[in-house]
Amino acid sequence: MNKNGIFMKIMMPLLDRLSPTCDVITRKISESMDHPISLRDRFRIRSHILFCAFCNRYRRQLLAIRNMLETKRGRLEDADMVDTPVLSPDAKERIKHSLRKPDDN
Amino acid sequence: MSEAEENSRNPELASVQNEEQTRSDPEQWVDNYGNYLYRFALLRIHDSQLAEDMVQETFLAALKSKTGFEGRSSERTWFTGILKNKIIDCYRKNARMAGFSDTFSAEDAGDFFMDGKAKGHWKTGSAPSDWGKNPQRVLENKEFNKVMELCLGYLPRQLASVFSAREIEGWKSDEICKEFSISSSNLWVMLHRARTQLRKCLDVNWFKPSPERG
Repeated sequence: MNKNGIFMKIMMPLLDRLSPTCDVITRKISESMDHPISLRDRFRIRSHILFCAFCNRYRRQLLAIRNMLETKRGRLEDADMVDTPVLSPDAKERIKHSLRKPDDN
Repeated sequence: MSEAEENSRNPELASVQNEEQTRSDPEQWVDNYGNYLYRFALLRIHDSQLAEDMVQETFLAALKSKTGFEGRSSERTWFTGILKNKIIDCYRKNARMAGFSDTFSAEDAGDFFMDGKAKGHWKTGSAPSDWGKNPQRVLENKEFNKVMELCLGYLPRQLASVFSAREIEGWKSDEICKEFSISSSNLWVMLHRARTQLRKCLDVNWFKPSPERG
């Protein structure tokens, strides 16, 4: 094995551990939204997104999606919002019909 | 003496009459609560046919219910509770579906270089684009809401179910693991996949500048 080969075999995994790549960081970012992650992982994410605009966007976008869904859930109460799917007249009629003859269902 | 006054003197009679009132016209339920329940279901299962069926099943279950609505809560809360149980049954069934693999396979790695010098880094075409300072604003746009609905609908059922339990019901990880009998590492992998797919779908179909949209 030449010198380069030894370097690749020993040093590269070590470097990857010290500074994970974007695929690992995105996984950790998602995990951090579900349970408290270790201090070391928090530090890895922080230091990575200082320099990686894409992972920084990824993180902000996941948080934005979470907020959007929360907003949508709140809007169920409000029938005048832009996003108001309703039962079609046909569907309403079908449901009413089934309630008239509940034993057929 | 008016009927109301009479009832106020005899609470037992009033409650019997109330119950009869709520049981009297199930068809009225559809007009009063149908749309709300439909939206409630649609936000959670992203399938209009299934959502419709669930609303229907909810009313039928209410009709057949022996205990009925006993004035313990509002009528809508009663229906919502029945519907919610049906939705959670559906989540549970989907979450336990076979065929889930815990390993990060090519589908996860699709956004990143698999080998070479840039191994593990974003591919140019997959890298997140700029969503602006206030992405929340897009919720005011009807078209965006349609895109979001479609993107949620594209999620495989298994992923969609755990994702909804987490992000729409707001359950904690350990609650989901217990309820659906899955391990926490499985859950986190599924949630990560769901978020990654949803983010990408919104990015590609809405946020990313494209020549057609200008």
